[in-house]
Amino acid sequence: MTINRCDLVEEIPLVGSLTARRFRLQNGLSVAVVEDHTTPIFSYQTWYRVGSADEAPGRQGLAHLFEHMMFRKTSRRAMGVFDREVNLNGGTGLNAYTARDQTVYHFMFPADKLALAADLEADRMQNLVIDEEMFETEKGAVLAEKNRTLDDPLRALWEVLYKKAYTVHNYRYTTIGDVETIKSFTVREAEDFYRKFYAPNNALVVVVGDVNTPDVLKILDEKYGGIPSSELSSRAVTVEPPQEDDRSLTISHPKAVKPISARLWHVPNVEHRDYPALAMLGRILTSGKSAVLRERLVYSAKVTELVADAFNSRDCGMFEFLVQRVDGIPYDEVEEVFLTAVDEMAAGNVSADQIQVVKNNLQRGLYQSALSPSNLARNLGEGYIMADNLAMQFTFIERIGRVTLEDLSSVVRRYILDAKSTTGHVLPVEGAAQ
Amino acid sequence: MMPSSIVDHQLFYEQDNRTPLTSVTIAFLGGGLQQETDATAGLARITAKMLFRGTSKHDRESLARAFEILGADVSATVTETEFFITLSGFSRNIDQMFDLLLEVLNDAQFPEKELELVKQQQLNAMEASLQEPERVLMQAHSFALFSGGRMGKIGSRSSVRSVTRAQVNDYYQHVRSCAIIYRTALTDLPEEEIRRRLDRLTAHRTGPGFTLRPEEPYAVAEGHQAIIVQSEDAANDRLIWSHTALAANDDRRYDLGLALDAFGSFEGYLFDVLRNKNGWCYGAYAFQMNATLRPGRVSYYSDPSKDFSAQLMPELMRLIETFPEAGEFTERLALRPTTFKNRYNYQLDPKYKLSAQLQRDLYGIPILSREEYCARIDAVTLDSARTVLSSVIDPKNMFMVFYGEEKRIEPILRTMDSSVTIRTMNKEEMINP
Repeated sequence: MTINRCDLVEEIPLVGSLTARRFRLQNGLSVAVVEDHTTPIFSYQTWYRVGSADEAPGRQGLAHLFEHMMFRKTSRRAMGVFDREVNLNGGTGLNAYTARDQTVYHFMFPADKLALAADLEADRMQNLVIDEEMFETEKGAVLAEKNRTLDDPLRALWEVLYKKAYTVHNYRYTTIGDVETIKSFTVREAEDFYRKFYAPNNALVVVVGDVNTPDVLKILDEKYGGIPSSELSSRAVTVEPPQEDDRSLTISHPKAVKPISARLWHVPNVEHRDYPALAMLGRILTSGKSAVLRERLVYSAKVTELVADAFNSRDCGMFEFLVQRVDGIPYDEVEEVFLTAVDEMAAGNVSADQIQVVKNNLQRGLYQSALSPSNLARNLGEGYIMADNLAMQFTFIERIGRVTLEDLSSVVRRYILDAKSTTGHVLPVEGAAQ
Repeated sequence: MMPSSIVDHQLFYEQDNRTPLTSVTIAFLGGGLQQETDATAGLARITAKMLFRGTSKHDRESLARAFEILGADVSATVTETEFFITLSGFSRNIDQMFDLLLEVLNDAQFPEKELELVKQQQLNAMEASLQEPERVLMQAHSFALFSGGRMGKIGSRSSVRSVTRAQVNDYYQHVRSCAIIYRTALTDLPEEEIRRRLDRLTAHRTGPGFTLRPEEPYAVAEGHQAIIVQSEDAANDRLIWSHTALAANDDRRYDLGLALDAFGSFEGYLFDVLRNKNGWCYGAYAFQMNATLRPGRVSYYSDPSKDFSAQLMPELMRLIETFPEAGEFTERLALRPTTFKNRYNYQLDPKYKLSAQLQRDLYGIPILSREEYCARIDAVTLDSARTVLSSVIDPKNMFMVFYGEEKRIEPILRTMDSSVTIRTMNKEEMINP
């Protein structure tokens, strides 16, 4: 079916009466629309399939710095005009973020401002101007942002630990990059990056809220239809070789008040058949107040922070176990609790109640996201980036529901108990002023 | 002291049929931190954390599991004035969820063993919070607002350690008998069905409850009173400066709100100068915070790279002192009525409507129709904004709180104002021994 020159690709029932419809414009731009007439507003998000993992070797941080430049000026809008138009027309939540696989621009508007929202985003998709002086000034803001991360012991640990866990894949680098590299970027590099990745056939526009689908398609075709598609080369995926040895590191950090420890295991990406069982493992361990490790570590006052879950990226994932320990509790003791719980999973010692709780918590989370147009849009966008499947988050409960105890046992052994891992600790600086 | 427009067991309800989910918040008015003393600091939070730690039928783990099997998430928290219980879960299980919550309300056991664990958790959390720069900054700001008193501190180790089961039980019995409002009920179920079930939950009262008291007033800065939370290795400085603003029900809040939006929002004059034009910081904002019946604070926040603090701090002060007359501000202000009128639609969101109902009855803030709202916004002019700014903006009398390195920040401050009083503190001082 075609509406206003846009091809309907799929219809996805979400929750309640909400349905997502996905279309494609002639130039390859993907569009997702969810009509929700509860409140006369809409969320407008643009998901580009480019992130820090697409950066050239040694040039980490460009995707993020470039994202900042998207708020500066275009050939149609001088510096400050974009922000002013958003503000003047009642736009809120104007912001963006860059991750390993995606860069996302988002705002909300009153229902009658759809044409403006589309015009603003279509303009900066094709008409961005990167001014030399603004580029240098923006580096200052990015360096201030970088400095904020340096003050965070947990981020410091992730930065070195991911570099240790991955040997070749770009996921080993942080999104923001390092100080010297940020300072060295040139306008030319930013322009090349823009031409290479900011094209309609590399993006999804998600509109959720008080809109009518034919109007959305008509407006988007008007605003974006003339933007030529690009010849995209798919990401050159560097396959991370299997980890053959256990790795570890320890750092100290002046802001750490309690030791933080983390252990990482390589796992496949979200589309892999083993992923639902790994996600099930993480949720049985930590999702909800009755989860195994919450009981044994948090409520027993051994740790103040706890993460144990399969985190997901487009190419491959990582199972992360992270704790912030309290004084006097050695890491070995905490890890023993974790491994005992994992052993229980491997032995099939999981109750029907535990599985039901996992499903309930997932379902409630989806319901809650449906009450917020921006959260709903985010769920759809993540599906597009991770698996080119807008329904990914909404069908995940079904995938989890098909996981058997044998599946769980098998992935626990294969990816955790019998696999090599990378462990890191960040410790308070001895004698540091707290 | 109940606000005159609030009645006991008042329900704030909005129907939302998008999902089969029911979320309710029960507020026990007067059950918050205001009932603690220096000797019992921490008791309210510990009581909240203990509430779901077991009944005579369920231990902690089985109780948590029983809620989650029904698809429910439940918790208790406290603010300065109120003790809250929130419950969110599948509407199809509402009877079982409410039965379980009733069991907790009537039969919470506060087991001794759990109390020791909760106390340990509280002590651990207090210490862990000192790791987060933004949190430390905001806590130090509270420290200034409450003159270093109990309400401005993260807690007290000794009083947390000394909390007893009898104290928790006694505190809870007083909470249980406070005046109650059903602060939020967002659900696909009809109002009467929700009310009937909520009233059943709260019918039982055991004795005299706590009395809601007015919030503790904020201290008033005399001149520039600075606090530097010493952080020698901070890569960025963080600062928040504040002075007295308006109460939530002061009608001039519209004039002030538009002016502060033009000056201190993401697209405001302040951000444009400090961040966009100079690149000295990541964020730079001015906003009104904490306005209730107690006047709120106009606050200025930024996070300069430490190499730029010497430029940013005096420039921020200059902008605060001069912005009402600046052309770049007045140009932005002229556009704000359109901005704010365009934003009216957000007020029609069910969650916003609940909040508006509550503010109407707690603070006497009327809920305006679109026409009324637009008329009020249209009444904001450059003159009316400048009038309120001249009576509110007070750059000569501010608390100036920093998270950073004393030896670098102090000389900058002295250059800006030789009479500034500076207190340097260690993060640990925000927790009483």
